[in-house]
Amino acid sequence: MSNAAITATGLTKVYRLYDRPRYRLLDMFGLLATGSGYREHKALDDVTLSIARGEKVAIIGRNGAGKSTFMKLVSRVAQPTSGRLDVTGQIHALLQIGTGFHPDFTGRQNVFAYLAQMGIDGASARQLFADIVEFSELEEYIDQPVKTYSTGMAVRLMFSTSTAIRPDLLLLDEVLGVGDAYFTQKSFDRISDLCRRDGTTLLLVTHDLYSAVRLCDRVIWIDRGRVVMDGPGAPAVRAYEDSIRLQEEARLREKKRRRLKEEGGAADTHVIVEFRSANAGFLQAPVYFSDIELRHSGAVVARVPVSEGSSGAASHIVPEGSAWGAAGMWAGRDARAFLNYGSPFRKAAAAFVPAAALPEDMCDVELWISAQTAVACELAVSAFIDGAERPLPNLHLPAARWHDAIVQFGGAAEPRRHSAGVHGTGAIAVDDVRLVSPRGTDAHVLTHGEPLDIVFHYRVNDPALCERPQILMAIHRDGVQDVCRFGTDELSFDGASRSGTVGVHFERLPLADGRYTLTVMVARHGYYDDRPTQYFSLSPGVYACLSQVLEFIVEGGGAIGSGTTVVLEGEWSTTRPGAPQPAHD
Amino acid sequence: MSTAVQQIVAAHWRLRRVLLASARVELQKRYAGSLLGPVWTVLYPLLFLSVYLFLWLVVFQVRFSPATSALDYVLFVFGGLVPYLFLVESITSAAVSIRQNIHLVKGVIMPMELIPTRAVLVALASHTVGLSLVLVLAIGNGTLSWQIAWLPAVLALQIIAMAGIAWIVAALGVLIPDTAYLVNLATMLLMFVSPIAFKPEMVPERFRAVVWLNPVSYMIDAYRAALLGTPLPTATLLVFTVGAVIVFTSGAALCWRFKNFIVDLE
Repeated sequence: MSNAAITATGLTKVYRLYDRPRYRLLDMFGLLATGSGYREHKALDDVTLSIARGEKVAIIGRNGAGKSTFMKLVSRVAQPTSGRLDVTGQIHALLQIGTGFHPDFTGRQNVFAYLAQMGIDGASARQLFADIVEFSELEEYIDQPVKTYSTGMAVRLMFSTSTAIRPDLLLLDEVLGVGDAYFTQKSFDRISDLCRRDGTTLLLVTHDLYSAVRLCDRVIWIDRGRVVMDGPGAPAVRAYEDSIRLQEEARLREKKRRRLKEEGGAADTHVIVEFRSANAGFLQAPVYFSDIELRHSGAVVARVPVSEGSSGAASHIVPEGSAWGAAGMWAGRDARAFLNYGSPFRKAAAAFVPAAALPEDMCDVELWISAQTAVACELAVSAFIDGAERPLPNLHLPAARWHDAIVQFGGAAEPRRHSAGVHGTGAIAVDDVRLVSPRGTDAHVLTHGEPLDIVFHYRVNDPALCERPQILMAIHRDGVQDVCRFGTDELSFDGASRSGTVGVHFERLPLADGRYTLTVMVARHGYYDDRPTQYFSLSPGVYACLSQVLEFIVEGGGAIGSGTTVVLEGEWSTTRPGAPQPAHD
Repeated sequence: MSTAVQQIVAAHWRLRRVLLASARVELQKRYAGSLLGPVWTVLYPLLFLSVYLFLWLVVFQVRFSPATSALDYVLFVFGGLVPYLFLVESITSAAVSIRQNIHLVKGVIMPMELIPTRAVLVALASHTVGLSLVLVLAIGNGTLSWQIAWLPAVLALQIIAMAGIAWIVAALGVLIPDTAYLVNLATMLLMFVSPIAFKPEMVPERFRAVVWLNPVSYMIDAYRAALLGTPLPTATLLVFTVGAVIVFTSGAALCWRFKNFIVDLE
């Protein structure tokens, strides 16, 4: 523990948001009745973590997640409401763009003023000044007022100044990536040097996860004041990619909820029920629903008309974000298919507007479902009652017969599984990605320079599909650094062929010693040529993407094939000066 | 309460270099970008007071009695005006100081309680110039007496009192942004009921109590005693001293007690 720079135990920070400005004054003198006139906002909620000296930690999360509050507590600017926080080390430097530098001061005056305020003057200040000017590369402009600087130049100067003082703890708030690519790389190197040589601990707050993982060896993800993930970069990147889809889904759901409120009146309770594959991956076969009903004490209070397409009716299927197919006859019943392709959210949703009020605790409320599917499967069911999520027990469907099931709202729910790197609509589903060694066995430890086969199994879920999709594989080092990509759009797939395997063969593995991950992606034809603007995990053009699905180790690189990433092979030749030239006539 | 004072004084002592450097930077910032730059720090209060000097000395030629000179009157006015201007500048800039300089707190340069004191320190620069002018005029008028030895003590007492008020108005300024306007109005009003341009004896008997209910009167009296050699009743000095200590202590206590509350609001 003596090596810890920051130790937080049950750290909680509550801010009071007052209904009226004058309540602040009343509360200050304890004249405000507890719990009235303000709302409490838990900016940080029971955070326990420890950061060692010299660690480089990125704190990521959405706006208002609690990142800056954590920084304020660490820098001792604000005091925690409860919990303990121990910070060792002398100098803290918190850097935020646009504060501390005066626009009318010249660069030189600003640097000396900043250093003076940090308690550094005289010869040591002049020495640091030389270093700051050299690093920021602003010699030409250093005697110009900072207001004439571009934003990037000002940030360069601020960054150089605050890293010049060699703090024990460096706190950076949203400053990376403002300069150009060249300066960004230079700042990364400077921070790395600082941490390695002087044992400086770095805390970095950023939205830019990809540059954060390049610099930091640990990522702490804060959401709504809680630490949702704390660990190395690779899993954080995967979780971040998932979270973008989850956020978009939540946004669509909220939009739906508001529309239901507008149409149905404020007094009504609305229930949105969502079905998805319980393994968070791709469904093997479509699931046909003939009945979805909401019952209270045995009586039907709302029924979703699955066979009619009327989304305007009180209770209805939700087309947005859902993979609903067309209504039709299936195995002797009027039914509607929850397809295993068509939506990047891989779910099907139904909205209930009950005829009678439902009890607050949803006691005695049940979901009655009739469904049929070709391959036995397990569906995860969640209900959103006026926007609040309530996970329900999973639904087990047997193969090839109509099955009636009752899902109780009061029942114990199974823990939800997050997709953990599985993206795409499922039009072409990918599973079982394998690395095959020269001996024909599955491999996780590969040898540099030996042959290698990458093989995956696919299933065409969309029967109408007939095209040459783009298949892309990417290899990342340590889960983060993009090493190489390879792909093809030469292979044909169609709905009739159903399933098969795809393989790619390498004669000599060029990767050097190290730890790598493999990502496999199948997208519609021309997906990359169209320069997609939508994030890939939301795009209907992505059929399947298994992000960092495999981790493998490469060994045996020898002197050439270690300490680097890729070893290229080429044809070598030499010519000797003075050797007889080919004769000319 | 005593721990609050101890803690605050200790914080100021620990960060004294940062506080001074920061006050110096603030002064430089005020005139940054101008042609004369830091020269204005001296020039501005000098020109400001010279306008008064010119008006009374050349235009109005006011004097208390035929036996006294116009410069006697000017010195009398300056003896009250100079410390009063220090008070106005300290309090008005302190009232907005935390709101305007919260980046110093967030940038971990100094804790919140140093910011109002910094405003007082910045105002002290003009005050020093003003006092120097009064001293020069008093020497020229030949009225400087041994009582000038009191000046450091009187000045120290005013600084202590100003720091106390600065903590109070700065804290209030965060809670109630309207404080800044009220402070501006109050200081203007206070100027007319303070014995700056008149002697307390010139006020009609019925209203004279108002003068002595005004704490500024005691401060001005103490300054005049030091600068002009006027007699100084022990009672006045005692009231000024006790008042300054009370204001300082309660300001420190308030600031310390609500420090975290105030930082959370900004």
